[in-house]
Amino acid sequence: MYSQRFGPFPNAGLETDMRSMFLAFLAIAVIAVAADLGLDRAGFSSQEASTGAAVRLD
Amino acid sequence: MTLRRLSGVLLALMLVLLSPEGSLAQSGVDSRATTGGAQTLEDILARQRGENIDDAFRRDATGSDSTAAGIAEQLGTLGGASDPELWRAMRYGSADVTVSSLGPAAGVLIQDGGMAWLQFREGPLAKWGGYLLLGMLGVLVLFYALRGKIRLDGEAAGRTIMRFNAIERFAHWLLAGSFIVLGVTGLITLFGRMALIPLFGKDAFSTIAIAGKWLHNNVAWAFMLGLVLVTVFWIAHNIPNRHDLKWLAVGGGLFTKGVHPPAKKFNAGQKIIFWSVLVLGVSISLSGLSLLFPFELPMFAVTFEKLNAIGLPQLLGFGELPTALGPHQEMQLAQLWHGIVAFVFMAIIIAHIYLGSVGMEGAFDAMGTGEVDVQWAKEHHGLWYDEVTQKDANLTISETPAE
Repeated sequence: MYSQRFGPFPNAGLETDMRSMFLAFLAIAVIAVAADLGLDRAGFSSQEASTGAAVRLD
Repeated sequence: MTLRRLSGVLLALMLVLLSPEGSLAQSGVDSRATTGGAQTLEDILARQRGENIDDAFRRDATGSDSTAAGIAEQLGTLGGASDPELWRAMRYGSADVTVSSLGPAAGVLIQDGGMAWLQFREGPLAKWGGYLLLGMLGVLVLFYALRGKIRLDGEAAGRTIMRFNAIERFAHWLLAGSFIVLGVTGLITLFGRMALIPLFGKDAFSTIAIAGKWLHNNVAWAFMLGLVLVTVFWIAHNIPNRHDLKWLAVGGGLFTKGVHPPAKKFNAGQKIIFWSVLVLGVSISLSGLSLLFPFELPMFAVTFEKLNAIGLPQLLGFGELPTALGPHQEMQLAQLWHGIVAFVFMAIIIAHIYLGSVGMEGAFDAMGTGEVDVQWAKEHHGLWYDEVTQKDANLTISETPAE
């Protein structure tokens, strides 16, 4: 339960301990890109969602 | 901030929004016989005074074969409807139109809720929302000036105890990181034209706005996932208990040195933050989803029906809320509600960020490395510290083989 922090470097290991935060920030970026691509491919882009057959998209 | 207060804000908002076109009050008392059924001077003056008028005389005057003059007579029209009558039908959404676009709103060619939405968005929403955020920052600066950083009363033990494990911290930062991105891009969307175009010019702001929109739309999913994770992990720890009353009675010891009311894993202040995040987070997610999928997820008319059924608007003196909303009105209300909730949310989170960083010694460690000094744990979460250490001791004893 306890861990020791001694000497002049009380925050030794801080970088590795904060991996959760950096991983979460990375996850935000990954989720955002995945959401954009995924929704687009699933037919939720504005042009596909709001244009009828009479409109040529490409 | 409570849900009841937020509901009051919404109801007040509805009243403001709907006042120019509402049909509840009738101030026009002049007989329209003198105008041949058209609007009267009193109608015009009432509108200019911002009063509601009964617009049925225009809304329903869309022409028909039975009332039209014969084609050979003076003012006779082919098909029973004159041009003004056709335009009126389009204006009130009763015209039978065929469009190539898809979606529930494609057939709405004219809608007049846009001006009320724009005026509220650029007026009271931006003004009072901005004041709220600046006011919160001012309060925190004042608090810091008077109280300073809340430091440990005792000597740091030099030993640490795990307060939040890696998964909990991941969930927190998923929610927090996405919230900050959403907050900043949301503020750019609302204040960009006013504040950024004068600084960077229209071309640069266009790039900023497009990037901000992309981030806002797509980072929202990380926010919703973070909200779900945080709720699952912490909701059991945030059930109110009797210790919360003691904590609140002494202001959590935030205003007085040496005062440390007992608290479990989360104290009453943190519970208020938790429930605020949950309620506001769900609300802002719902309105956000409505905005992400335009016209597909209308929710205000349904909500108003339920509110009318329980009598809340009537109780507050607002009368029955409108339940026949057009697709654009739904989107306008969703956007305004999204903005109102966002401002309240941001104000609360600014205070949370302050106390979790510069405002309190050792607080950031809890969510940074996950470990806090034992002395910090004893002072701020004494009951939790006792529980954890007792459980640890019991575990140690049970695992010790019998002699």
